[in-house]
Amino acid sequence: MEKVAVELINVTKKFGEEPNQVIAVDHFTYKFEEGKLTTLLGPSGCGKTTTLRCIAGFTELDEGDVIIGSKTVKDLPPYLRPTGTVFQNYALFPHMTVYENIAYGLKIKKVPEDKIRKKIKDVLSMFQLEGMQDRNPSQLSGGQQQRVAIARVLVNEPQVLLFDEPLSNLDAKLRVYMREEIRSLQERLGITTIYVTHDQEEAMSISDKIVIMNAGKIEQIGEPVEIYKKPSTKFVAEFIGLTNFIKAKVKEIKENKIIVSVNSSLLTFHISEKFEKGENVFIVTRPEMIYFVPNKDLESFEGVIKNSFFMGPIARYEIALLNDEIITLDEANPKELKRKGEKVILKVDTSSAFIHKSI
Amino acid sequence: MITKFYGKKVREIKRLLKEPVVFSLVIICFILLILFVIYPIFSVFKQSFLEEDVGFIGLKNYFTFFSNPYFRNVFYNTLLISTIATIGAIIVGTIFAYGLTRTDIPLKKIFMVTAILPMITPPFVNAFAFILLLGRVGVINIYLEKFFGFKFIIYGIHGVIISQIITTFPLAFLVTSSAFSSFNTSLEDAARDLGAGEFRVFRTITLPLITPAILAAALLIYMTNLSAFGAPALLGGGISVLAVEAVMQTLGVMDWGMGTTITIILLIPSFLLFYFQSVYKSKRSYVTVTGAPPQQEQRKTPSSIKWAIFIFLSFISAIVLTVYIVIFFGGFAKVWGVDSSFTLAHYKLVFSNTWRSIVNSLWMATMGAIGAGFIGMILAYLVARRSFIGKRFMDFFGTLPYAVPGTMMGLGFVVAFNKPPLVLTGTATIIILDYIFRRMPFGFRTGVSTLKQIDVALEEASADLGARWKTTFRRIMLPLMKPAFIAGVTFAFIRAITELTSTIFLVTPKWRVMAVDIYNFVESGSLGSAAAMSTLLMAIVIILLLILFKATGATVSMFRM
Repeated sequence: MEKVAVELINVTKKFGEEPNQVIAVDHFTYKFEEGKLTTLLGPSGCGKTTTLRCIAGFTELDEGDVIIGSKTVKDLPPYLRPTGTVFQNYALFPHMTVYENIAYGLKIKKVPEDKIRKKIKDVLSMFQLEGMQDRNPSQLSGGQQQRVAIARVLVNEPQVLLFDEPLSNLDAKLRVYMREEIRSLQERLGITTIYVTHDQEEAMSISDKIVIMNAGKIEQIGEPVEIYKKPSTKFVAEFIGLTNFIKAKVKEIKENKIIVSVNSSLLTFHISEKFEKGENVFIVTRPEMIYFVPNKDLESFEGVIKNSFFMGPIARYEIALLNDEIITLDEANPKELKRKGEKVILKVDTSSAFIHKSI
Repeated sequence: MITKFYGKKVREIKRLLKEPVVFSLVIICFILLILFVIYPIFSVFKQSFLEEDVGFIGLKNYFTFFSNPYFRNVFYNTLLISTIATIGAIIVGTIFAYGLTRTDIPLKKIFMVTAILPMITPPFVNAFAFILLLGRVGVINIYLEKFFGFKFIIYGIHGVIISQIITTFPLAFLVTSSAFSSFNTSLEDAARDLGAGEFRVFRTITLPLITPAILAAALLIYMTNLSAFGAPALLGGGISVLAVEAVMQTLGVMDWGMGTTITIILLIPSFLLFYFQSVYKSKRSYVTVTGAPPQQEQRKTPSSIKWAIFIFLSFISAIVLTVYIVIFFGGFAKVWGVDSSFTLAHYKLVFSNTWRSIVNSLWMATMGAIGAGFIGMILAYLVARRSFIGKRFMDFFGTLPYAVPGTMMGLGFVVAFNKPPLVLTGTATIIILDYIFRRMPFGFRTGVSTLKQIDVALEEASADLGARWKTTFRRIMLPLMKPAFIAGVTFAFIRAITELTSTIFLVTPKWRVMAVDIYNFVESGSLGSAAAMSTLLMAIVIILLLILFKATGATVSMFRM
């Protein structure tokens, strides 16, 4: 199958009339790479689903263009676009059997009956749905309904696969299983896929690329590791996982190195941006990038345990620094839980943490 | 801003023009609503400001109405009867609802039936049954006189009120019982847990939470009572009410100016009640219907309360069932209350003299119901799923006939269509059109609520899989709307075949119908024939309902609107 890219140029969608107008998608420009799985990630109301619906054709654009492959689909109705959508609640036709649901698109294309039967047989075995074909959607489990929804779309061989929060109705375990299924299916078929979710863990685990959206705009685009390790905005840092922002002051700048002070401690970081001496900055670190040390030295700083939570593989601590800032620390494989009020000495992994300008 | 507004409208029109089927449906619906809903109401308004040979007389008829003691009295009677009957219906309905949802009284299944049955009993049949029981030759009165030396004559305000309570309490029952059963009893448990006693729980938690439902029901019931015609006409004795007076003034005295004036005076409060009801319902409903049924735990009711409720329900149920029994036997008694020997004479008479009415009723109600169902569904689809200019207008006028008293529809059709451009009076068509447009709101509203439950994603999925509008409509929407359509048509049929208030204006010797015949039989004292025909009418209705329930697995919840 031909792999196609999906390009959005200045896509804008507004809802409502002025003055209560909401700009759901605001000049969204991005080229979704062919054959890759790209996730649109963001909090609810950030415009990710609207963006997806603009690609599928359910929502008309106010401005901009959507190009699939080499041709614009902006003015095409959904039934003429080469996209296939898996809906949040699956949208299986309740009055049709599994077989009829999957055959729906093929019948519209007037595919001969025997060919339809063959295709559906293949797709049913591919999705481990053998023997389910005469059931009604209501007689299936959530995971099975999900697979029927995907099968119903794939059987039409769309060029672009669209997922609108497909796993949000499943329980936690099934969610993990299904996202692995979706990922391996996508890799096997190499079909361009755009996947909408608000679950950052889900996005991290299945995506080639993540597009983080906020208030209708793109905040950051990158591979999962990149997004996690180097969030480019405070919004991204806070949205993806837990992040500490430790207040610090620039002491010295040497070539591509910077020394900042936290209380009386001095920490050295690599930098690519320009900073000025005396400037207020943040040390941006994940909880697992801070660790306990037995002895105080120049690079470490002191704190007092405020709260401790045992969470199985890790222990999570809320620690008050000398200036009363509260930070979160995750200790992997904890031997014993430190108590409230205990004094501790901490160090930041300066190779993973980075310096961000004060906001 | 303005250009933007027009830009949007222009886009809507452009989009609509791309779908000629939808576009023509919109146009057709507008024409039908204007012609058969707006134009008749407008004609009645116009007529009330006119006098023959004089022309425009302004509000003269209205001044006459309110300065004349007789008419003022009619007005007061209407308000008095409606108010008391509404309060009575709410009390009876709420006790039924409480008893059936919250207690473990025996015979619940029977009470369930008797709480619904009056909904399909035409009010005039109900009133007629009361005549057979408590009229001057009523069976109960004969025994009362024999043993106690007095009679309880049903004619008068009290009779109308009793009859109206029986007719309207099921609506209160349906609304409050659904409020009771969608009520999360853990709220009451929480109150008990916080130290509230049983009575306090009822007063501070249960009652406030179901009050909005009760008030919404009260407004609708008040509306029904205001426009009631059958019961006051048959049981009023010397007392008249607005709906009866409107018929008297037009068909009796031939004073169309006053008749239409009274109809308008009746329309305004009905309309306001309906308006408040819809506003109130949308604003104040605490009872939200979600997919999962709320936690309901049956608590043991104190046995004194339980048996008091049981006795009360039994009493009301006895009345409801007696209506059917007495009508059934009435058809076979030689002379009711005088000679109770068995005879088939009434049935022979009914089949020979009024056979045409039975046939007319059947086919005209069928046509009317199918028409109402189709137009209702199309309106529902357009309003729930499409955007076009004038959608709110369509929504409003599609629902309006529900709030319009039958008198207004009947009189409106006569006044509007007895002169060019469209002359329809004296035809079967006008009766069928009356059935269609009076009953269309039911199909419309059930259609809209069905569509609201059908996820838009289904249509999108269909389009996504390559289906055009027509395919989606045929393969997805129609099958999913079918149950609502069948129910809509069935109920439209039942309401049409038992319709008296508006058809009384439209029948002619050539086009008579069962309901009007029954009314005329009672008025002329032919109680036996009236009973025979009522029995036939009720048999048709009940058989049809049983078929519907069997075929679709539907339940009483269908009665809700």
